[in-house]
Amino acid sequence: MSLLQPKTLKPMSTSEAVAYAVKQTNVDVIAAYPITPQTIIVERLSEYVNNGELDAEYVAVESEHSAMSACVAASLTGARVFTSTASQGLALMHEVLYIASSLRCPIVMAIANRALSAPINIHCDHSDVMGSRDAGWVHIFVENGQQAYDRIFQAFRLAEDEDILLPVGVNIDGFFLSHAVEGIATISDNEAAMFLPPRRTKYYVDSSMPMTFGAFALPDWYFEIKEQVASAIEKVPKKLAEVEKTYYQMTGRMYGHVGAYKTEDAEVGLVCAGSAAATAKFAISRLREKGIKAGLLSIRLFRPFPVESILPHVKGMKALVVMDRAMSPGAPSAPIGQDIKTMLYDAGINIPVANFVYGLGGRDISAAEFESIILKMVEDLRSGRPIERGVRYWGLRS
Amino acid sequence: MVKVETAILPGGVVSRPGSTTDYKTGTWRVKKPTVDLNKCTGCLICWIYCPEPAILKRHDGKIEFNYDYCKGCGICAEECPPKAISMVEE
Amino acid sequence: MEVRFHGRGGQGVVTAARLLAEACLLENKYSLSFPEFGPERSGAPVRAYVRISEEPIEVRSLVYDPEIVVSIDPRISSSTEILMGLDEEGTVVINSKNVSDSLLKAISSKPRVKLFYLDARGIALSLGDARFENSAMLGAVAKATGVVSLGSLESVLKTRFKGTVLENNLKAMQLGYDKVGQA
Repeated sequence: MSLLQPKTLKPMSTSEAVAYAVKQTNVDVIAAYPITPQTIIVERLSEYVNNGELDAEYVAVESEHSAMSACVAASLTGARVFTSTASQGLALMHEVLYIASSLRCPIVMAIANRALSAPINIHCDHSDVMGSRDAGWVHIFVENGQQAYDRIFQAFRLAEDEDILLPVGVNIDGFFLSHAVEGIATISDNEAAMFLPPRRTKYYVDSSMPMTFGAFALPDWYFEIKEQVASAIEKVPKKLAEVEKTYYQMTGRMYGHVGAYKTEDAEVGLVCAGSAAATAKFAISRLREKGIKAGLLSIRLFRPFPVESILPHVKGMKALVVMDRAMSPGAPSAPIGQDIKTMLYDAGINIPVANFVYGLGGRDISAAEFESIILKMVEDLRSGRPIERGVRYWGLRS
Repeated sequence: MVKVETAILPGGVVSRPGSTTDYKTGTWRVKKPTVDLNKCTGCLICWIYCPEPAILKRHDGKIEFNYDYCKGCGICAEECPPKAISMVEE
Repeated sequence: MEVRFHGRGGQGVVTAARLLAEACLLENKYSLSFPEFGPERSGAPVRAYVRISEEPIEVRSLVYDPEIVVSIDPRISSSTEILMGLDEEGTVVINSKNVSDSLLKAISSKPRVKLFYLDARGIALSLGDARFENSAMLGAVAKATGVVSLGSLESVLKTRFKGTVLENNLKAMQLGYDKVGQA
């Protein structure tokens, strides 16, 4: 990956970078309701519209339910549509999320991942997105501001592809990423326009050629229409790879469905998503210096779960550690743990998987903690101790 | 159940306008409306109220019914000012 | 290199961290600044962090063992809490007219730590507004640590402010640079 000189980068928080990218996409409609830690994204966008820098309709709605409803309606007219939310806001959108995907609205939404009440908490975890992971949305996790900026363009191009036509969530860890300032390499408005020409779609609301959108469907048709969402989302891995290739040709930056680091000869693989995956990468590099054969698999495309991209990396590994920043109370595993274990079972790979829930409500996890988690796994494997199955909680007050 | 036999478009979009006319809801009826043309003044209050619309306007300004779509709801009979419409067994 | 800023809501702690990070970018170093995330409340203790590196920065966790600690608030400057996790060869820069005995005592266990102090509040008030404190402290940090040049910090200030606000911030920064003393 080509690295740009720091002095050529623009200092921006991830939220500012997302807003700047959305402005460069020449979005038509933004409907959003502010909520911490997403606020800066929509604040900046409303400023762009107010200043005349962005010719878009900014709909200041009274709730997230209305925000997503307005986005669905706008998207059905053929418009390019963006929104952003977090936590309780995503929860309030919940029923409309399914409508957005099933009506095949290519809305792009930045989610500044935050814990769900109660207790009320404004800090990062992935409970919000995990609660809506079956809503038929494509979900991408980012590890830093640069990925967030780049993924916005890719998300629109992917979402609006006529073979896909699905909404895309770009997940940004609240505060850890949303409020962190770093140097961002930007593309020019011209490059943005080349990469993302105005949206063209075949079916849209237009009084000169009436069509029915959102019709009632009884048992005779409902199932087929829902299945369309599943078959469309299955096409995402291949399509996203194409989108990334085009973006790479322009920028030299490419992320893939999974961020694999030192997995070639790894005995223990660490699976993680979001900002903590970046910290984990540092931990892996330190372990490698100590001769520990550990590798990282950062889940960048979460829905659809990129089984084909992950499997080649885990073949040959002796054990996996899966870190989840969300709970699934009562389930046999936490969300990413469930996906990983299903994937392994289907592939006939029977290796131990330690599944930890960590960092709820913004509790930090350091590189040193990742190191100790992996070291413990390596020791257990060497001594032949059985690996504890089921869900464990990391960093919990004892 | 009457099926609209077209390919399923993305999101279940129905691209042909007026496709609901394929769906003859007249079979739902229990009672059907009839009109006493001697009492009918041609005010068309029934035409306004009919949710389908299954009230048709005749050349003489009075009304008749499209029984293909009339569900027999009886709103026309209820609203008719001169009580010219009555609901009768099929 | 990791830096931790201490202060109170409203004193420009988060802004100071951001300005330092932006100045480092200008000097062709990678940088990352972030607040100790919380509901922003005026007067409540606030922390902000900066990571600076020749290499792209991976680690996104909080800072636990900073090489540089800066206290922008005079009252917090006398608290030994600011020394938490400080590197054995670290540098402390505090906003204070003098150095408290408790701080000196606490620091004596780390003999290689360098301690600098500056009456940034005095400088800010002489310019008419306590809000220039953070710029004065940034000037002091530039001098005391050499982590960034005064010129880069000035360039960053010029991108954010205009007119008399810019002038006073530049003056505060220069005075901080000139007047910072080592304990």
